[in-house]
Amino acid sequence: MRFILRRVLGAIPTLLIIITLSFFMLRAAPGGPFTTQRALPPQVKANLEHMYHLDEPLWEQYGRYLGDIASGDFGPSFVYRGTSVNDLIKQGLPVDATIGGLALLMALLIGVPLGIVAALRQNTAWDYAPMAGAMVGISIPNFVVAPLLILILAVKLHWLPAGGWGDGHPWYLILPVVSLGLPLIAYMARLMRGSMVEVLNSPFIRTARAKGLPERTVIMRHALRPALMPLISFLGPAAVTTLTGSIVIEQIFGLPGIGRFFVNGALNRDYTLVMGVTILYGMLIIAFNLLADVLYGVLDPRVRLS
Amino acid sequence: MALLDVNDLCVRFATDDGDVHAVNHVNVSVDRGQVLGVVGESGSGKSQTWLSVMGLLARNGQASGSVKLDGEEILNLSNRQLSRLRGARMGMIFQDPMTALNPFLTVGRQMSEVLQWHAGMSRRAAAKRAIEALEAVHITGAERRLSMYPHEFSGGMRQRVMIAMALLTDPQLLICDEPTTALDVTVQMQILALLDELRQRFGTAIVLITHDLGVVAQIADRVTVMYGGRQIEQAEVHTLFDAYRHPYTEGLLGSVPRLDAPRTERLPTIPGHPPNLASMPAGCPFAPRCGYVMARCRQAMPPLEAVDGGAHLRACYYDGPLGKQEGVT
Repeated sequence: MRFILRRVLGAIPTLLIIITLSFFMLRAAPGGPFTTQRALPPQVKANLEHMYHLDEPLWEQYGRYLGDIASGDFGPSFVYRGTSVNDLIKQGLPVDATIGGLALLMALLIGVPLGIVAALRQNTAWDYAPMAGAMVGISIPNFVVAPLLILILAVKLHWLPAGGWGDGHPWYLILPVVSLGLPLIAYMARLMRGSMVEVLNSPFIRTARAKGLPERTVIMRHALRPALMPLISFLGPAAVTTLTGSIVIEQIFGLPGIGRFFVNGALNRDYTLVMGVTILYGMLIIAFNLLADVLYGVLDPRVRLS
Repeated sequence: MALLDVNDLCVRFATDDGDVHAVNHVNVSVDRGQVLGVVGESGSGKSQTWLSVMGLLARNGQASGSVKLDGEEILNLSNRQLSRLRGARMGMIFQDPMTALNPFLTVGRQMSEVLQWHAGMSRRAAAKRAIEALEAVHITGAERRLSMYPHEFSGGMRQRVMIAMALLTDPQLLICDEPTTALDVTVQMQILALLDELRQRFGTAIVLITHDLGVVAQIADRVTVMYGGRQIEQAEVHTLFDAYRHPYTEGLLGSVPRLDAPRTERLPTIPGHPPNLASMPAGCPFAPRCGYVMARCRQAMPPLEAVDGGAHLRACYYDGPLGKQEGVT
């Protein structure tokens, strides 16, 4: 418990650095939210800037912004008029989290068992086939996989919708989840195979066998937990990038996720929106790494004590 | 009848560079309550011989010949049959106690699972028996230690735990692969004394694999010396130390540091390197390093034959007096 509390408190300076750096870097970039192709009348622009406090000195804006986020308010979006950044995140994040969560779940349920089987049946067809498949899965980027899936399953066969969110109807989720999940399955299978092979060659597994334990017990009780450790370190950061969505997948399937807000925000110098999404990513990365560390401690008694 | 009878045991490994004959035609037996020392350098095949007896060879290893435990053939049994035998009637402990225990499970769990599986005991009964076993190997506060993890024990303690774990089921045979090599000298002595005590108390037959002749001299009854995957000499421990008949044994004994040797003298070593098992020379594997080598040594491997018509066996053609082999530093 004290460990968790210490880590949460330790995250505050990290976040502050992220906020400060991105705040000033964003402001240092040329242009602003109201720099458009057609120049606005000076009076209109001045009014707008005054409304969003952009006419104040930078350090004052910075202080105001810190105060706002401390109270959980990311401010109004400059580009999506009349909408707050909080609203945009509330709209977009569930879409990404649904797709990403399902992709992660699918990858765990398929990739991990595949890797284990490959390790147990080393150098047989059970090993070679999934590993060759995994190599292909890792090598082919999802901007190739996704259009192919759409072409075959949606355009030719008409089995699934080609895109759109469909209010989260399962039918609409399948293709984006599969496209996002395939490389993850491949990666997890290879990771799992590698660590399982290593654990199976370790002295304590030989001891377990020398004790006459049945192979099932040797694997499930003695080998599985140590073999899962590398997967957990991988999952911490991987879960964040997956849950927050892939801009590529969102674009291809026309999903209303956060990714497009981030890109549009960056292109239009939508200061508050970009800041909001950046801070959100930062918090998620910190949270998931903490979660991975806690899981590590739960699983490995050597970490627990030190 | 001997408890364990090994006949013409061979082990070979299929590797990318062809077959490696790690163990060749080993014949040895162990009686109840007896300690057999198995001596040799790294790569002499001493560990592989006994891993194959336990059915613990690596995937690419294949054993042939015969191994009888109490008259019953146990070589190349199926995993299912082996799992009833290993850990029940024969146990094995390993060189490095730091890595031989599972770091993720408590010592109590690792001990009680043996009894739950082999003796069908309840977890509670198994835990009770585990405490007795820990006490038998002189671990104090045994009850409290059951809930501790291996990393909370010292090296010597872990080896005691390994021994206690192997003894839970009162095995007839305990194979110890370099059990003291990774330990401090004082702890080594304690572990050897413990093994000796257990042999006397429970009549356990012990196979002690080591490269350390000092260890063998302490508790072995009989010694078999291996070189290049072959047995080259075998005798009662006193005979071996006092009347060895193989040049390699002479070299081994010559390279043991002695307290009474003059300080200025450098420690004698056997010249040359151990043979590469993947490309064994024809004839005696020791011939290239031997101080008494003759032409025929390089042509055919001398058979392991009785010296003086007794239990003293050796594989060597040389019949003259030993003791003139120069230690080279």
